[in-house]
Amino acid sequence: MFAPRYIYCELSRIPESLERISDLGLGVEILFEDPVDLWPQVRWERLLDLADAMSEAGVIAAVHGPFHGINLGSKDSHIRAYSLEALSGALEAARAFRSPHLVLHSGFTPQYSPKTRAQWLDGFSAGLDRLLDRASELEVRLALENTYETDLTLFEEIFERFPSPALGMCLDTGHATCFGKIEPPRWSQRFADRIVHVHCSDNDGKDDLHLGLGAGVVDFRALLEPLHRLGGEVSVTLEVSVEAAAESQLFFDQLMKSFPGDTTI
Amino acid sequence: MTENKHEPSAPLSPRLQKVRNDLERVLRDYDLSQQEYRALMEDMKRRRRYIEGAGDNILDDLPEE
Repeated sequence: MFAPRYIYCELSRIPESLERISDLGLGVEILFEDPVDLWPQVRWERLLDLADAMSEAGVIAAVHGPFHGINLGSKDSHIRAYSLEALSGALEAARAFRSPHLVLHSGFTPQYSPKTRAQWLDGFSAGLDRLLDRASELEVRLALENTYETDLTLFEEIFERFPSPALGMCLDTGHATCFGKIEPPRWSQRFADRIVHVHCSDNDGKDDLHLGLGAGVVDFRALLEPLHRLGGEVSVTLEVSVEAAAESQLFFDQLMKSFPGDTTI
Repeated sequence: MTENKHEPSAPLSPRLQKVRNDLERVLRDYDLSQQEYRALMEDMKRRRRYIEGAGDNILDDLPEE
């Protein structure tokens, strides 16, 4: 339960953070923040060499797909096509790094009108359908992360359209707290059976500050309790700075110990 | 996004040093001109179409506007 654990890091920052990450005993969630981080300039044979070297060094990896400007449901067909290509590239990277999942954002904007929202959802679903086919071929699960959604309705509709277990959810505790207009634990109560990965960071309830755990207002106990009760396999990424990682690890361990019947620590 | 930055103070183990070397080799490929970037993009698309075969490309069945 809540294992393995990773810390997030942009690909370009890993060399300078590698020693500390290794010392912490954490895996690394490689953040391909921009599509330009991923391709076309990345030579796949070099990425495969890197993946092998990380595996041999005992550093496990997960992959977070690009998200800046990525939108599978865009009205612009060029952006839809580019988004699909970029996320497909990220899937291949996830396969190369033996990541069990690829985390992706929806690209949805809550301010859409109902009509635009419906069009967006159709376009997004068409792209997601293709992406899920590719994910199944590569044996990588997709983990759709809550980002700017203010309530549960969009994810409910998406999961209704795609009941396949190949589509899971990444619960972002920080986003649920600072961007949502509902009680944050409702996310984990509603989607406990779809959540395969959790992003943990703290904030002030207004901005996505990526503070260390316990430094803000995020109610991790309430958010994680439904997942703990269900007892499924859920991995965790600390989305905090390397400097805040040790204390955040300690905070997380203490939280786990406080859950009734926990035997994972 | 918070950035994870750390200056190492001691030599890495050989295995971690190999990871760092491989990472730096990947990152060196980023230093491209726009012209080189476009050429690589075109080459990648050609290779992907060759690998996946005509009519079986992930981009072929996108919905119409």
